[in-house]
Amino acid sequence: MPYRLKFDKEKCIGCYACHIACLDAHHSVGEIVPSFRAFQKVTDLSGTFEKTVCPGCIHCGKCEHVCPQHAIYREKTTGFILVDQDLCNGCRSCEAVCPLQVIHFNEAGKMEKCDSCVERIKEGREPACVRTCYPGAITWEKIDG
Amino acid sequence: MSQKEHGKKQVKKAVCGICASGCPMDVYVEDGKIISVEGSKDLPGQSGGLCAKGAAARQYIYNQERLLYPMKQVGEKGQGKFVRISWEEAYQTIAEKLLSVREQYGARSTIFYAGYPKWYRPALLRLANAYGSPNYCTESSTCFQASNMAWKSIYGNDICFPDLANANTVMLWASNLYHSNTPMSKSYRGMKARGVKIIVVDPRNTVTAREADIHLRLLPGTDGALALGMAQVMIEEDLYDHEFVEKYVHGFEEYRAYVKQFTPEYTEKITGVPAEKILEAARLYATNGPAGIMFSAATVVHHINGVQNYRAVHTLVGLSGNYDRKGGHLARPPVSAPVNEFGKVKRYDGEEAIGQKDFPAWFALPCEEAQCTRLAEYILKEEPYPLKALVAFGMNHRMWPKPSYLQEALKKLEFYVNVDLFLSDSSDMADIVLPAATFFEREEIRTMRGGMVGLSEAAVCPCGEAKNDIEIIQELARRMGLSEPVLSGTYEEYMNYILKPTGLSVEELRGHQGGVQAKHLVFGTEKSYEREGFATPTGKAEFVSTVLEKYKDAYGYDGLPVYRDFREVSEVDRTVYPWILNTGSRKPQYFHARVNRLPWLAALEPATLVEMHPSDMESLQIQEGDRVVVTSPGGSMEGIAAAVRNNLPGIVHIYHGNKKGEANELIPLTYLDPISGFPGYKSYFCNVRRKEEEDAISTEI
Repeated sequence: MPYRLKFDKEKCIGCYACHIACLDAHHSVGEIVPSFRAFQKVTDLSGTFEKTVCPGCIHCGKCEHVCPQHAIYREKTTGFILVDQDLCNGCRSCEAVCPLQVIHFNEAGKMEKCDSCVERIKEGREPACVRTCYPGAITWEKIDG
Repeated sequence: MSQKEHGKKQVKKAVCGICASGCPMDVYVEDGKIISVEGSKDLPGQSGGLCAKGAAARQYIYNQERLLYPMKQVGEKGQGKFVRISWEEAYQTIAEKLLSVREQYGARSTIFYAGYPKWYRPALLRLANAYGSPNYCTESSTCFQASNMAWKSIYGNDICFPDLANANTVMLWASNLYHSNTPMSKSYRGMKARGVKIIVVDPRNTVTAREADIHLRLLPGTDGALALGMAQVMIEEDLYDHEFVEKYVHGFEEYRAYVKQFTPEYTEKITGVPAEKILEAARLYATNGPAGIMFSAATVVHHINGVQNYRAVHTLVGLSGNYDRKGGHLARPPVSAPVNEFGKVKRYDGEEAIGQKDFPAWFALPCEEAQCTRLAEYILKEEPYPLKALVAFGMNHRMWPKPSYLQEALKKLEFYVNVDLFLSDSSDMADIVLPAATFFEREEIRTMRGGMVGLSEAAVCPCGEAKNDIEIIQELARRMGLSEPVLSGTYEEYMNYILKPTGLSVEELRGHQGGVQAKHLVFGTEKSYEREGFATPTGKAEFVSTVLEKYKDAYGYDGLPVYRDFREVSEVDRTVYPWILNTGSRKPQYFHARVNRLPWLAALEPATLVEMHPSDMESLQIQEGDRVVVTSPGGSMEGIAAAVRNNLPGIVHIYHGNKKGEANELIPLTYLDPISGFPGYKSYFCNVRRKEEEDAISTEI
């Protein structure tokens, strides 16, 4: 059953909960690394308001299409875009096309990104960012097909 | 069953205790270690959310600075050189020292202090009472209590929160709830969807204010003038509750005469809020009821006219007829569970406590704790008598103005023990430090809505040799041979004592995630004042406070909620300190000083940010990210410049509690509200300049 992760910038209150929940879901307490959810400062037309939102991967698949190594793939059961780091050669083609700039490279030069908490989903849990978001700005939904 | 099996994993049900919001939490435990946390989603209304601080909770329990063993200072006080000792040695030393201080100087020379969290407070008060000291004090000396005082001086009871579920208009007064109380996000959006009209009072254009129908952008510290301006409109346009005012208000004529001058135009001059917005907000609040005012714990009272400012705000509740009304402010919830302890233990007041001479209204109303806002001076100047020992739970010197000065004072004490979660700088002067358990490592009774009572489960065993605060208090009472029946048993017995009026036992709560309804319930009905009157000296809602009036001659307190402007009263040279300084306005990732040490949270932004409007930075030729020096008549600090469009021009916002740049160093010891003793953290003055090379040289000399 394919899913899609969605992020509504308007509904986001800039509380950083998803940013931290993502770190908690993927790292031990000693790992001080960037979160898969990015920072983006957004302003309104009046110029008197701003907030920092944390966009995350929406699994659009642009990176999959440009990966020369075919390291990036769409996982069949969930429909999420994942990476096989053994195949990644660190060419950074994916980073260049990512519309949300949510692709990282680890110390070994391998691509890293949101894995939609696929392990949690297997346990019957929700992705960490979806679960933690009080204002409901991050949601996941089933899509047809 | 309270535990679901997930392979080897267990899911425990705790209530997050990092701040006071109390979010229900699913704690995934494997091999005795917490591997994951998320918000609970078991009951209707539980969304499964957590805020950034809660989501980082594993870095809270497994923090590198966690205190794991009792330790004693072996270096000079202040060196922070500690070696591990046994609990036996710790208890023995503390009991001997405290008994010898009592013998030599009297019980009053020992101070009992409760910081954060608050859950063990009644037990600590019992310990202080049994020891015989009037000096039980808490972090409420600079937080919340002044808001409660302001309310109590009018209505006689503890502050009554708004009935948001049934209100048609809600005024959020100085509350950026999306960031200060993130779990309220859903109910805020729910109110909007229900068509509730929202008025937000806030100098900043926050995410919360942006969704309001009316945003009143006042200058910090002018809240009282704004409230009096709204009262003027309500009276002038005859939009107030005549019946309530005539039958139940004391001092209305005097109040009416006083507010007359606060016309919308005059109020605009003081507050900066356009006159037409004041009119619009007053009319909406008065006519589209029932209406509630969502308070904030300490924002309005962190001004030198704080209590009077908040009294002016609180009078609007009675004036508009929203006191003890469904959808307004209910004096008691429709149904609640009666429990022992919180709010039920009286402070021993047989002799003068610290702060009593300085802030008599604090004791007259009464707050049931001493007022320690001038703690450093009381210790150093031996006011009103020598203070020799301090038993602290969660001492955080960064809470006070001029924190470095309090550190000096703590050094002078003969004996200081600090029970804490982390080995913080505040323990540097301690003789002994004891490791406290986090909420993950102990059980705790929690009262809930609808007369329900729940139990926060102990998810894991305590790290190292950490112990539950109340067990520590109980053992100290035993070791000193103090007679205190409620503390004399086990912690289980103490919890059962809390529960006694409900007719439930702890055992009956175990395994019930959603809590259990009390067997005995307390029911509240509207308009209780018609039957009971008000618990004030006049029996009425005192728009003119007879308690404050008593101190008119000796202390200059006014019975009326008068507005005194900090810009006039403080006499600071504005040519030197042109900017208004506002410290501590909430950020979603911080909770005072406590979670700065969580690396994921600390990495969200550089510390300490000095936030200004872009136009102000331009005029000072300061760029984003520049190191800046902030000075005030009280002191100086360094920080990092940040441009924030949401701020009003002319105002500098700095978050407090960070050793990388401590905003509270800018606040002079004497810059206090004379009624409550609360520091004027949110409206002072400063100068900001870019840090130059010579600054580095001069600090080295």
